[in-house]
Amino acid sequence: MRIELALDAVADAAYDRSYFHKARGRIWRGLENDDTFSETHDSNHGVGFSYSNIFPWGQIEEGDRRYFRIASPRRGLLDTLIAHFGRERAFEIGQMRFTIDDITGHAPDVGEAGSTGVLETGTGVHCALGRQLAEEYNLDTSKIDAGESETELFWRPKHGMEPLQDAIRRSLQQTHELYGDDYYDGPGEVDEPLFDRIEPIKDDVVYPVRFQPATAVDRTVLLSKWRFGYRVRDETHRYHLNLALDSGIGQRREHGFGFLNLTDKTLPRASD
Amino acid sequence: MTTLNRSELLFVYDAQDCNPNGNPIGDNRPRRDPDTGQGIITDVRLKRYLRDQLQDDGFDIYVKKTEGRSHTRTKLIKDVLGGVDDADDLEDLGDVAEAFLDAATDVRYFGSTLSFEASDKDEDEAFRDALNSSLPNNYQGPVQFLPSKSLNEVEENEEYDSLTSVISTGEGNRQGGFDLDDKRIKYGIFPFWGLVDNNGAESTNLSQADVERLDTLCWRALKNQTTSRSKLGQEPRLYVRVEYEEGNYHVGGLQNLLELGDDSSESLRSVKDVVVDVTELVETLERVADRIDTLHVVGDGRLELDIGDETIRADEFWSHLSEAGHDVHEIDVLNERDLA
Amino acid sequence: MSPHIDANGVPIDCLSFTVRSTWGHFKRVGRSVTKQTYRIPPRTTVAGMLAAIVGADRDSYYDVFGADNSAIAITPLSDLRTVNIPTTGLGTDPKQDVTETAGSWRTYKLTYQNTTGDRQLHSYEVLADPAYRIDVALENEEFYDSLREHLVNGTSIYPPSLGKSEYLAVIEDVEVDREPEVQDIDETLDIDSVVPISLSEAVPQGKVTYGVERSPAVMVRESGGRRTTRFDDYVYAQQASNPVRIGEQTDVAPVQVGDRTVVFR
Repeated sequence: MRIELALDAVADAAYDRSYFHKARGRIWRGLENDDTFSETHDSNHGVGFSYSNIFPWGQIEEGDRRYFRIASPRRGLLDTLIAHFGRERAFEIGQMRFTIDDITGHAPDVGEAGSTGVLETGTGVHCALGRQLAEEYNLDTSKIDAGESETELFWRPKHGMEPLQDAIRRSLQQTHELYGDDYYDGPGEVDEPLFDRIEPIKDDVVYPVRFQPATAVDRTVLLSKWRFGYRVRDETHRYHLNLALDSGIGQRREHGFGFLNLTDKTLPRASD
Repeated sequence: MTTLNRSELLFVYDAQDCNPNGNPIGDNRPRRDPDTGQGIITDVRLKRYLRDQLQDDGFDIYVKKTEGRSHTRTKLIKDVLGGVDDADDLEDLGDVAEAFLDAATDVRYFGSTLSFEASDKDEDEAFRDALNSSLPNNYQGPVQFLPSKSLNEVEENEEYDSLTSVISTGEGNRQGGFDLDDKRIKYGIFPFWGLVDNNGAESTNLSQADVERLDTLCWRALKNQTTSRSKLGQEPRLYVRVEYEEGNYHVGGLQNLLELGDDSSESLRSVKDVVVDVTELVETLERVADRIDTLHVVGDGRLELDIGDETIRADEFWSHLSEAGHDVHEIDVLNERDLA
Repeated sequence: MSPHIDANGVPIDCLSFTVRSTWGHFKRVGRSVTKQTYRIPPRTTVAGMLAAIVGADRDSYYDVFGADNSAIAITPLSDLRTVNIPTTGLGTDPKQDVTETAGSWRTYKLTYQNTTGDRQLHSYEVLADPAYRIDVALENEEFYDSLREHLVNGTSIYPPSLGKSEYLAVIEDVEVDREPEVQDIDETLDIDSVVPISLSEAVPQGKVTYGVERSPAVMVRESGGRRTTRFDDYVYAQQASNPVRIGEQTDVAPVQVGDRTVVFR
């Protein structure tokens, strides 16, 4: 499930490429008065949401219409946000200032078994590997040793798809365990892949972005954007793909990374 | 092995201001390759013309519509076998498969699926069992045509949206499908590549006479079977049947040996705007001349062909090939036609 | 002489040829009303096509294309794009109910019929202008010699086609006695053929679309027909000009055949 905020710009502004932290702060304002969510604010596993960038991308002029999406597998979380945004219409992300004109709810679904389609990342996927994981994949850890990349190694194409796919699978499994439907096996509990086609959207596959995970902490992260093709095998696979749409993929999803959109869908048969 | 020689067919026809093959799903719009803009005509469409012409010529065919509607396979086989109504009649026939192939001329060419629908009635079930035990599920046709793509990019006729809206306001026309017929292309020229599989011919009893009949059938089918409002405007332009010597050889991909000549107009509207470059075809036939028994050729005088620096009319193509040393049979479509 | 195939599946020598057509359809089992196609001909389909060329009967040739005594590499030479060709079969009515759904990989539109009506209308997803380079080695001497002779002479007992009998195919650029040279993987290696690995083993490249398929690879004859005993997973690149990049830990045996790097399976 997801909600989409229709935003009216109240002032001219440059598009802020490092909006992540501030956008997260704005969403949290909507959740902090609800104990269900506020208690887990600083826990490791998060409360289960992901969000898009403000789109369309580009210079903002007063009166422009823009959109912002927040997805979650938790209906209650979205209800809380709808109530909040309905009351507090100001939506300000640093210098980018909007009022919320409308809120709509959507439940994109990849379709029954046999459906094919495409998911596209709206924001880059975050995947960093700690020393232990890097060693498991036999990756060169000399940069970690030399202190050049703090204590983590960002995924790069030369590492092959496996570390990235595993990271996506692990985070999705975590969301499944916390907020998913335990009727189904989790994404980490099946052998079959989530996607059957992949296309990196960026020429060099990965690209750097400035990211402030907290006030006064500034770092550069390496992200990747993707177009993923799928063919729904069965109800479990359908659930996994829909879960990915709700929770985003990869790491630091609650910081705005790995947000997914369903861009194309073909059902196996016409509805009667 | 059969006594037939393998033959390869190149059959070019064009379509002007008509819909040579509507897409039954896409609102009956002319079929097009969305990436290249080329028009598409399926083998199914071409074979329909050929079947209808066979029927008009007095041959029995299996896949047909009578009284303007389509029928179940059981009805069709009763019809083609003539007077056979139940399992007992079938037994009287003796060799059902031979009788069927003898009657169903189209099946000898194009094959057919022969699974018969189930019925609640015991009598019908008995008939179905008898059919299934004496006929294979499927005959693979020894004559195949590859669905054709036009040499040119086709343009859709601009009027047709407005035409549709005007016509479709008429009461009841939505159901009648009248409006669906007015999707047209301005012009397309379509080369079909076909093959007569000499070895596959055995399985459907395809005869030498059947193969020779194609030489007049294709041409006449396009002349005679394209008279409905949406089909009018199609003409056969060039037909070449390359009959090989023994030895299971064929060149393959004859349609790829044609291209639009340099003198063709930018935007094609009629056969007058087209020159088809057959240089590669002529060269290829020359290269494999010792594998060829006879070239069976007919062309239309309104189509121009480029051969190297030379431009000739398609009705002169046979003599050009003959001068190049091939054994050529110039087809006389009307006098050689084979009526049942 | 027929080639020996080593434990890594690499033959001493092989035949190479290109097969192409305007259309191709390699039927994929599924629930879709539109009959879907594999992008790459299944190994078993290639076997069937070669059997047609030499005139082997249906169900008679599976042993020749076993897991240990045959090696086939498939390299797409054209972009793997598809179009839909709806056809009305016997007893059809063009005005039956149909619906359209926008869809598929970015650009193309797929259309589906409503099956509730009793009229039959088939829609085929077909490959447009498919072309593949096939490298093949068979230890069965009689079959291999016959195949080589047919390919070299341009003959065939039953004409080859790409998945459906009307999709008549052309065989061209035949080369014989090709000797594959084993390649080392130096950090990464670009493979022109489809690669029998999972997507997780592929190294992504910008703007290059990788696809994966699982299709029948080896069959055995059984009473009343045939049974698939091995399915292969493989990665292919959607655009013919792009190779599949693999890393040095990938467990395949790449070889050079002429100017192409391929993996036999």
